[in-house]
Amino acid sequence: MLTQAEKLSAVRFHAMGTVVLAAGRDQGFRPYWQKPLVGFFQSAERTASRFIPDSELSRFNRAPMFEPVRLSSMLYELVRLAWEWSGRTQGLFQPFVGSDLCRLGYDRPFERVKEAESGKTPAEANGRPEPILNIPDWDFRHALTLNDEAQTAARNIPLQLDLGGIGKGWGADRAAGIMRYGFHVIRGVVDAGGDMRVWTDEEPWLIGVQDPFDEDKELLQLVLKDAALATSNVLHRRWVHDGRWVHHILNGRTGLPADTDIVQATVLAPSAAEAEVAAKVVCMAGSAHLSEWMKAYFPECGYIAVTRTGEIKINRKVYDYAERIVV
Amino acid sequence: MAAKKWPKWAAGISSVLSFTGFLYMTQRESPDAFASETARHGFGDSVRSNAFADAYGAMDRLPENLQGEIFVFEDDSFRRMLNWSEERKSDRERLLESLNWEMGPDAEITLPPSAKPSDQFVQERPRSQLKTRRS
Repeated sequence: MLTQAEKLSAVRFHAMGTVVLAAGRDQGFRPYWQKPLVGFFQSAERTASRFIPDSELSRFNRAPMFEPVRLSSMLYELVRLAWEWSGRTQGLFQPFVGSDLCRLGYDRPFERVKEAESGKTPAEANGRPEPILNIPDWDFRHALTLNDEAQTAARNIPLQLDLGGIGKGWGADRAAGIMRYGFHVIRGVVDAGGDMRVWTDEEPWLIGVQDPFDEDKELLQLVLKDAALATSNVLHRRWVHDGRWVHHILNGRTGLPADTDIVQATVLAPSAAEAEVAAKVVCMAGSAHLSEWMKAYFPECGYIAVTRTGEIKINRKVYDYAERIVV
Repeated sequence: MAAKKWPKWAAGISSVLSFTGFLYMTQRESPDAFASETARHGFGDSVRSNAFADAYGAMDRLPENLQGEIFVFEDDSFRRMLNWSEERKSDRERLLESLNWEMGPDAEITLPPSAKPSDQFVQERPRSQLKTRRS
């Protein structure tokens, strides 16, 4: 028999190309937060999806190059966040991978990509796909012009922005803020397609980390009180293109799918947006020098990285967020 | 005599009232702290708990223009966690804890692949209500 403390008001809905789950409890068990939360996510999707032709992002991607476009505060905030992370990772995370993803066949929601590709099997791999544009690193620094005062953005290269991944992390952060500070939810979780925020003033959360090779199994369990986490995986969202397996985690410097010995990365961070970016970068880094990479780019993050051979690499920072790791 | 003392009484009472007011203002933590938190997270003054709650009201289903499912999420993980004693920790968990207590802040540890969960406690471990999802 569950006690009242173990029951949380919850909502599950589809937005941003994924299933979003939010659950929480304030002191009065009042589910007032659900409607504004769903409204927020659906508004974010209408604004920042590259799969909706009339979304603000799609219109921006179609606007002429070099022309400043005034953006809504929501889209500007998201574009600025993505661009800041591009700079901080020196282009490893790159929001301009939208065109590369389209070229590789990921030009519609992923369920439809898989439908279109079902039945195809990869031929023997002959090299790797070519990047869409061979732009030197330094050019990417000038790829976007932002004006905070006028809230305008201009594309300076013929590539499209994709804010799908970081958008989910940003959405989880904002939604958690709405629940926690707008509605005094004292114990809550927001899970936007794997980008999660959990917080509690009382009993901790138990979060299982999925086994990349068998989704019914858990590699380990994290006992968390206040944390953001995200998981990237190169085995799950993959499809056959031009006779080869490709996946959606593209190295922003090359425009090509990351090809390292890491197949899954779960990152714990101060925000879900940072965790989302860091999880992608871990998949690009490989295990050999992962600790140095993380120290350089994400000094506050904990990581749980799984290699192709099933080894699990965990850094000490995970304990900054986890009360306990059960493995 | 008493008439001459009224300025002192007045000064004394106003001092007490001022000090009480000062204490009230400085200790009235929740509304101001809440306002600053909401502002810090970008929600401004309009997002006050009661105002928001009154505006939206409780719901058992979402309006037709918002598609989703409202339900009760049952989470007894904390109660199950209480049953995990020190003795039930696996060798791998103890190895990990050495990372926390004995190594530097940037240290990394590698756990070998777990071919079979030979540890009986691992097999008995309850499953999590929430899991990371692969994006």
